[in-house]
Amino acid sequence: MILRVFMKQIVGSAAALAALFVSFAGLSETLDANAAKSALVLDLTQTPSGQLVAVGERGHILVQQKNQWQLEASPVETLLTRVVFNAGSLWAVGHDGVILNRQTDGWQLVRQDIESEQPLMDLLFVADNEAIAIGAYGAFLRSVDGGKSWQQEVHEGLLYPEDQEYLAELKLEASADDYAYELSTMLPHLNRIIALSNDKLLMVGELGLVALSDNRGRDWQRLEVGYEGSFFAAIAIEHENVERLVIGGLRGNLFYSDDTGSQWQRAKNQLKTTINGFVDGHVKGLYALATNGAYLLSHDGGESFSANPLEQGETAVAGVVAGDNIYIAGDHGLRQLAQ
Amino acid sequence: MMITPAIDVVERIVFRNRLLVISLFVLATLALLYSATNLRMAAAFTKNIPLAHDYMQTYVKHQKDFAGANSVMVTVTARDGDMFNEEFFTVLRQVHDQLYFIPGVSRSSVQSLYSPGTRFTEVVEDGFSGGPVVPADFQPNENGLARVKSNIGKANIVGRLVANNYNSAMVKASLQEFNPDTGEKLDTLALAGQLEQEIRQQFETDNISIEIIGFSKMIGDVAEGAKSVVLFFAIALVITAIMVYFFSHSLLLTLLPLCCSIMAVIWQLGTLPLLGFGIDPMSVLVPFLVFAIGVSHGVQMINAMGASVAQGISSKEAAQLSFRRLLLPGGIALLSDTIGFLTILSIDIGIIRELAITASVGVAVIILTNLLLLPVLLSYVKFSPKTIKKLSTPSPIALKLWDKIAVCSNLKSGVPVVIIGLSVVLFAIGYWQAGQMRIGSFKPGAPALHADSRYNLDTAFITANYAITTDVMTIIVETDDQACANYQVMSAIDNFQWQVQQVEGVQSAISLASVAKLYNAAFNEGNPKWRLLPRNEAGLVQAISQISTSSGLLNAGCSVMPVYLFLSDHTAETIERVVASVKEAQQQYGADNIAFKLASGPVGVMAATNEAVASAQLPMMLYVYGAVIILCLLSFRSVRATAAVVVPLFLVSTLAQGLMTQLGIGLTVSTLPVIALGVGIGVDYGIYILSTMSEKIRQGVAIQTAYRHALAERGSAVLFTGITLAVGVSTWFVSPLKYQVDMGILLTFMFLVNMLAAVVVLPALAAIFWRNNEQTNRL
Repeated sequence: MILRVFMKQIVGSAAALAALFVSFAGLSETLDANAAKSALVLDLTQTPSGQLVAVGERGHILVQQKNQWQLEASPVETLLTRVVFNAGSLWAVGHDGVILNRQTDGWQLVRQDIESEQPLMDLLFVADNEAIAIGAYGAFLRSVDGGKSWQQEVHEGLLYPEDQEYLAELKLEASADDYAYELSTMLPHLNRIIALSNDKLLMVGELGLVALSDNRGRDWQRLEVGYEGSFFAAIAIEHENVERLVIGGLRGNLFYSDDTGSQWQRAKNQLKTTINGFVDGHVKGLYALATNGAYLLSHDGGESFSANPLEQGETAVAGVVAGDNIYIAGDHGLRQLAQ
Repeated sequence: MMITPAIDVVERIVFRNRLLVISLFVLATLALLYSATNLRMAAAFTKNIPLAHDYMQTYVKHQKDFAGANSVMVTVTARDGDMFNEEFFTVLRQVHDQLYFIPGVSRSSVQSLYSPGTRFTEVVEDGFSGGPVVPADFQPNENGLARVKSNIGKANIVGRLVANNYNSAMVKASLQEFNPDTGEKLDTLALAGQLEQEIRQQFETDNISIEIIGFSKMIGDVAEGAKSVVLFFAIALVITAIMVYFFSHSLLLTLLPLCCSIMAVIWQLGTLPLLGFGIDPMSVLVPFLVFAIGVSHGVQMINAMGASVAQGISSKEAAQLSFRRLLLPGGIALLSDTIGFLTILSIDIGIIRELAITASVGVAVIILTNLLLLPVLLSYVKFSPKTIKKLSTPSPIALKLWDKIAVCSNLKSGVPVVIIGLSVVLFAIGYWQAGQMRIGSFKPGAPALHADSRYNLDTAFITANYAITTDVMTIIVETDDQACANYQVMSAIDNFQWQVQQVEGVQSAISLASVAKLYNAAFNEGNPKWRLLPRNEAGLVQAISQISTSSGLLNAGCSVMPVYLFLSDHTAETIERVVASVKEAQQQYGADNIAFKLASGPVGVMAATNEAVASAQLPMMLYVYGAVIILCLLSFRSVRATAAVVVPLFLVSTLAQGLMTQLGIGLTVSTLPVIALGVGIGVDYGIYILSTMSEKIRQGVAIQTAYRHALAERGSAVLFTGITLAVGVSTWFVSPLKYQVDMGILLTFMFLVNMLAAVVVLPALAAIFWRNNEQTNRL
């Protein structure tokens, strides 16, 4: 309760501070942008007009304008994990279950759930007005009104078959609350959700979770990959006129599939550090961004990777191709990848 | 005049018991010489810091829990650029063990690849895996070295314990000011010696170099360089002796003042152990100053003696006459120095207090040795007719010179007005420059040592090859017990750190809050998307559970957590900017249960010292000048006479400060007293000249005549002293210590320019002050 009051104060003062910043737009903005640019940045995206947008710690939202990064007023101070563009609008998600949307008068807080402390990790529009947000502890939210309101969903299909059986028994015996608690402790962290060409969805997460849905995420089937560590990254690329799925996770584990996930092959990779994200560099190759000072590059559609250095100790999380450049985001902030 | 009868009494007693007086002095000298053999060079970190300053109270309060500012860093470097070989790791291990056993080193603080706390952790499918970076079964073969190399990468220690390009590894430790078992004070110089002998000398080879930095090593190197002071002292002594001989034409007249001045130095050095002091490497110049001031008064004495003897008076009567004529002006000059130096005691920095005592004792004993003993000794000197003839025929060059210089007081010639005009201009320039004097040390490395000294080269090497810097300021966060499990407190620390980190000059920062974020991510499979402070207590407790107190990030009760700020440099501007931003953030994030306190760490100490030094400068000058002014007023009983002495002196002080700015010498604990010492050197000239003039002025003699008379009586002694001492001190320009070079330049300047001011500016002022002395007949 006290925590909540305190948080409200923080959010309130953050909003006041944000208002102040807007009125002092200019010099101070650039200074702060420089600081935010070098701080932890977890995701970046490019709008169809070519503008780069990045999010990171302390609710930082950075927008590139004429090669200058500007810090936009943010309604939250928590860690933002993902930014996406859909139908002319920008969306961001992060810790405390926040979902943000940029409207004509700036960024607005659409949703927040401080009590549950549920971090959201990804957001995907599956239709014009329909979106899915996923996150830790099996968090699965859906909006069918273009992101205005969000409803929790529980997907037992994401559990291991033996866990599904156990829960089915529990559902008959235990109270609804006990069941919900047990379920939440058993559901894995959901890390990444991507849309495939044939209207299917692929989702990866904790404890070897790789799941496929062919009805916009209403039902999920777990896929067998042969690895039970966590996956953080997934991408669909075109390889020799076939849609190839590539996933990456803990300790350099990378797999690819050319048949929409039925069969997976392990990719060759010597580097044993966590894969956080992919960048499809097309002719340049497939980039796998990794932890602690290196990234991987594949020239054969993700079948084999070779390691290349980042900055000393740098962890890269996300990246985009912008013209001839590749921008990466991570714990050394935002920067161009030297190639 | 009440003083004259008193002088008569002293004169009668002293000169009726000449042998007794001499015997007493000899006995005292022997006793103090014996005492002086117990004198040791002593340095201590705490002597150099203003312990009463708020920041230092915080520093001292938490010194036990968090390594303070007094630490030592030793790096073992492979000369061929690759540390992964057997010899390197053998030496590194030996250096680690050796440092561990050196007395004064806090053993729990020794950190290197070989310390048990140096571990790596990595995330695996079912949790963590980790271990010591150098495994217990480590063999320095290809496999073992490859394993250590891989562990180093996982342990996040590159830039801290291992150089950025893997050519060097560090062993660091903090030092204990007091031995916890015996309570004995840390012997900094002994420790510095051991670092040199038992670490560098023992382990440096053709393949491996050893770099050592830290306050103790720096002061050790200064002490090593300070030993050359003895050599410079000897050179100055020889130069002075030769020049005094040319001045006095007599071997005895040369030896006696020098012996008396050396006696003053012996008395001073012998008194220090009796008072419980050692001599600090930074104050070794003071004995030389005592010698110089002694020579200055001694030369006045033999000059007066020679003048009297030349008139055909017997040696004994001539000595008595000189004693009577010089005791008052000499005594006033020396007493004002002594009192002036004593007032510096009020500045709360140990080393400056020591210097105040060292200098005031030294100057006070000159009253006895050179104003009392010297004339007694001179009374025994038998002058040959040849010498008397030499003394009684003034050199025609001198006479011409006095006539020329006397123009300075000839108001009709317009020269005094020109002199005053020029002085005003010079003062304005000096004042403008002095106002830009930099506070603190601002160059990388130790300012007391040359840029190409081993210590400063080592500092440059370490800052270039490691991500660490010695320019660290630590903000101590004081809060409730177990506050690290309180999100509100941790979040305040995090926000504080973020805000202060933005300040120009802060390169990075680290605190329990920022490290807890990394651990929270580590507990979530190392996923960077979890790098934040968990809001719930359980999450926070888990995140900090792996952080031990040896990390320096928290104390045992988790009620004190420092925020370390790594700065780009330690210029006063950077320090002031950071301190200002910390004070601002203090207001913003401080609350009833959380206080952000300045400051610890090397730069925290510098911040306090800079503030103390900057705020001590004015009071110190006021005290020294206050003493000079009051004693001049008492002895001359004239505001004009006092002004005529003090104004030229103040002009030179200001010019000397301007010169410091020009030479890039910052105002530090060690340079702060030099201007005050300069006043002590300069006041003699003015008082001697004006005391002769004042007699004539009282008699109603025209000012130019009075000045011409003063020049004839004391001018040669004044000119001679200024030049001799300047030549002696200028040999310091080639000293191995940068500090001594700086002091040499400043003292040479002050010896010469004070002398010039006394013979040029003083008479010009007098000419204006006593414009119509012939008519008004007043002092």
